[in-house]
Amino acid sequence: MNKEKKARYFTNKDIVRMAVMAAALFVVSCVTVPLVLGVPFPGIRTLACGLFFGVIIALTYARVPKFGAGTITTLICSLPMAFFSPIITVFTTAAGFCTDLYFLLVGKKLTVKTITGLGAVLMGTMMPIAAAMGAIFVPETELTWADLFRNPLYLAIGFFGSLILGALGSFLATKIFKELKGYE
Amino acid sequence: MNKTPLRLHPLGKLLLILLVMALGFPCWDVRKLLLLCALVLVLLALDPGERLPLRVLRLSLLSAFVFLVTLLIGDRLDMAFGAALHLELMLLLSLWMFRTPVSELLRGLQSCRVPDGLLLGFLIVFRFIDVLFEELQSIRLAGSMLPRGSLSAPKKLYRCLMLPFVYRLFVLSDQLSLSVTSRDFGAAKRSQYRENPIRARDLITLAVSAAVCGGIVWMR
Repeated sequence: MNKEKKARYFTNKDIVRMAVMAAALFVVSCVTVPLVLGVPFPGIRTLACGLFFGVIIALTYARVPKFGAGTITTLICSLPMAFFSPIITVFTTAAGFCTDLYFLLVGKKLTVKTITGLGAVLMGTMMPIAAAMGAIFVPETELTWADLFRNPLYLAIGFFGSLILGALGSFLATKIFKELKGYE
Repeated sequence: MNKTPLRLHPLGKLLLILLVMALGFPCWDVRKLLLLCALVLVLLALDPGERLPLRVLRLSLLSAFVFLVTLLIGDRLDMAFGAALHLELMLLLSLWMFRTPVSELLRGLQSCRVPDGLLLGFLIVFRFIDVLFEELQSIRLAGSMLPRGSLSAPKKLYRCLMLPFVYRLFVLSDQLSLSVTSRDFGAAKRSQYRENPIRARDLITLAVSAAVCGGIVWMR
């Protein structure tokens, strides 16, 4: 039994930690995204929640520094969102997977620089994937390709804004983690 | 007399929510969206629970806020109504889903053979959404005790909201992981004390609601 337990890559403790962080991601998106739901600006939703998503994803990796933590956290967070639209589940999990790939690329090392990159990668990949999926699958409710490329400046603001806010959030998470070091 | 609750089976709820969302989201007709919201309200009223009118009122206030913001930015009344009603529909459906007791949902998902690890994560998210909202509320209240102008807005956001919230996240996750470990979760196959099979009335409710929903969307 013990061998079986040791063989598991993610322990129960890891799953619980990731799930609580996923709940926090869900709460943050519930608070921020509805406020800008009807605003026709590319990437406005990722801009609204970018800072907080950056904080939470960095804290997730700080607590569960394993490849797959990003994918599982975003998957668990976006599963209840599948009731709203299955597309949300797909682009959120895809962004989480990209963050995992980045984590693997930087050699699973958590320094201030690499942690800052976690939020940047998450939000920087989420925005284009979400916009593209919206334009492909639900052009009735989301912005179409023509709307997206009508003003490339708005698109660039949406993309770089999300990326910078994600990075800023993750950088903030390193400060928070330092302040709460006594707790750990 | 012991009344049996009129609650729909969790799997039936999931299916119906997916159907209403799939049919309701591409629709921008205000009348149809209003009828869909009314249908979900009827389903909510059939589900036993506390403080339903108050919760619905709170959600409607949020939708009204979105209506105002969209009207101010977009300057189109139909678009503002559409955005607010889409949000209202989404919020009502999520309220309906989140009022399902966790134990019932667990039994429903277990019967679909969802892996235990994923099930645990999903249930924690499901249960902790309410808990974290309450935490945010109490942290916000504690922050409001500070004298005005004592901290700048970004500093206040960081000191009085982010730090306490992250601290509570850590504490809650550690307490919960300790509890899960002490119960030896995942050591053996989980059994069920009470079965919750899909009954004929669940199928009838599902079929009638789906038909009404389809009728609303495709009516002229």
